[in-house]
Amino acid sequence: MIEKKTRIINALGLHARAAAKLVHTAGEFESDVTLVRDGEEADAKSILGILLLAAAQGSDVVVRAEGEDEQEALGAVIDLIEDRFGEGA
Amino acid sequence: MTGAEEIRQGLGVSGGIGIGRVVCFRSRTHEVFRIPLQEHQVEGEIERIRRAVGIAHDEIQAIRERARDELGDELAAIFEAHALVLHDDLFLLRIEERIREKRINAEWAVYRTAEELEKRFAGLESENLRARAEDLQDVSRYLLRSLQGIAHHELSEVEGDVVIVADDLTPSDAVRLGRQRAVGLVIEGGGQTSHTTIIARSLHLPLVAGVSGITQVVGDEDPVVVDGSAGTVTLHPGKETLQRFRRRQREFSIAIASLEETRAVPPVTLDGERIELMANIDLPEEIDEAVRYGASGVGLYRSEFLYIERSPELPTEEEHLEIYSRMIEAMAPEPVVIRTYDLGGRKLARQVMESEEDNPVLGLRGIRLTLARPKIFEVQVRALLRAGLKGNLWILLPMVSANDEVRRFREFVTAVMKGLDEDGLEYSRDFKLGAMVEVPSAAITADLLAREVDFLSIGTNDLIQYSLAVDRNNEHVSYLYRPLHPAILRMIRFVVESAREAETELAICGEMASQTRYTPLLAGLGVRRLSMSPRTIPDVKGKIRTLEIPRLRELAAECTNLGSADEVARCLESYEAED
Repeated sequence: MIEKKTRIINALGLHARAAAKLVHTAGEFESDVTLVRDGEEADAKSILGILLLAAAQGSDVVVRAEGEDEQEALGAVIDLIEDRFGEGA
Repeated sequence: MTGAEEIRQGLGVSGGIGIGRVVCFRSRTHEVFRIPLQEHQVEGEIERIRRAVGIAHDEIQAIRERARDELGDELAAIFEAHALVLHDDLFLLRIEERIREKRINAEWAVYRTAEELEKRFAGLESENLRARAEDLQDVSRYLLRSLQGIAHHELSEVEGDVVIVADDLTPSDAVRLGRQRAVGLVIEGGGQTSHTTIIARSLHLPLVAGVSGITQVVGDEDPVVVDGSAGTVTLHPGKETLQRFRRRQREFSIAIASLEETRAVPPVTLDGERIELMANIDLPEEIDEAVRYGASGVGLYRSEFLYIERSPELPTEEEHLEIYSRMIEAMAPEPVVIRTYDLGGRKLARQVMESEEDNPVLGLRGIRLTLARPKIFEVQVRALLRAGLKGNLWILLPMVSANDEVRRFREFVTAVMKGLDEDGLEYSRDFKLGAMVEVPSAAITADLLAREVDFLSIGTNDLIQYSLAVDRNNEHVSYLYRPLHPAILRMIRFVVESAREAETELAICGEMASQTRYTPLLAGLGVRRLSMSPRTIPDVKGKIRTLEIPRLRELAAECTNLGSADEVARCLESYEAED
């Protein structure tokens, strides 16, 4: 199991569209991917779980991955978050 | 089944005429019962729910593709989320767990699981996130219908044209029904139907909302006519009524057919003068419609709707930001004019203002309220500046009556920028700032005002009411509401000339802009930018393409010298009668 801390920096936070992108990205990997915010965990492959985390811009989150391809999964999810979910500035 | 002709009035929210027979959806909630299972039935029930998921999945995919093809990506995104929710472990796994643990039927498990999740969404702070509970409801309904074998395509087996009468319809209902035999929709609700409305319009499906009690009075198979333009529902139409509606239906379909052709055609006069046609919108989803009707930008987005939706609370910065960003991004590089809050405080939220005003129309509203409550409106301005990064943002200030209000707003913006810098947030400095010309003092000092701003926008409705001292909703004086009053024409002429001299952009965004009988006069007065409801763009464009500017200049000169609105109206009529 590996994990990495990051921050939600896109303007809109984990809103519907960003959450959908996250689910698609996490879904490409075999590993379990989990998002943790303020001790609350959400499966990154569950759009409802991610939306219920209600992570606005500026939220600190930990991304956790566990499984065969955990390195790749963690990297892809971190990239997506740090790339502001492709929303631009 | 026979009955006397009967007309019910509602609100026509999507135009057109639909003639058919009633299919009534009496209730949107399914009758769900808790049925205990024997242990040996449990696996069969799991099988059942999985099959239902498969059916629902195919349906959602089909709707999503149809939405993408016919309505554009913006609206298709609504259905994209449905597909993800359907397969979500929090939903689906929990349903299966419930069936196993409690040994209950699949319907009950779906119902209870959705209810449980909806409660969690209801507890969230962000309105946008709370609203996502709707996706959950929509998906549960798919599942329940699949489980109960009420396949949606049954409707297509109904003979002839169908008018759906329901208490309420979701956006996906609208997409689905529009592509089957439905020729019209009637709903009792009217509040939360905005997405449904936009989709119905996109599909040219007549929709009348707010017809209370209609599901109680109609019977299945009753003949009915839906007039989505007039907002009427005619039950048991007589022979003559039917003929009249058939004629109007033909006219309407001719107009729709020409829409596709007119979109590609530029809004240019016979002598090559271009008049930009922009869209007035109230909801961000109307962007698709604006594009479809050929708008070159949004000429007026009224931000009050965002506040009204959220009242009695205030929208958060993130909520403002999401909506503004979506619109600006979708329209880029064309401009999106966003007007700051333009109502009185009492309409806004309890926390803004509790005191009553004797005369709110002349009271603390528009830019006055914005400047008086900087703490509250800082939220809107911060979101505007941040959203400006997405494209071409024009900020419009309502109710400006003097230059110093614009100056004070600029100071306010500077302070807001400082705050954004301190928070390390990126924002746009490259936006246009404009003023509404709707108060006579602004019109009369337009030459001075034009130097303060990047653009002016004439709001004719309020300008007429304030200038002529007429409340158009007061039946005793509404006859005095005359757009062609010489005072109004002279004010418009002066504002246009002032803008031209100061090299400031100018637009007209009131109702006058959307009515073709005023187009020649406005063009003659020198107006080159009009903003109107998207659906009126093709008409106005068609009109523009018949005009010649030199003749219109003469017409405008003549009209502004006439002594009364009646004389001006006659002058315009005789112009129209020319070849």
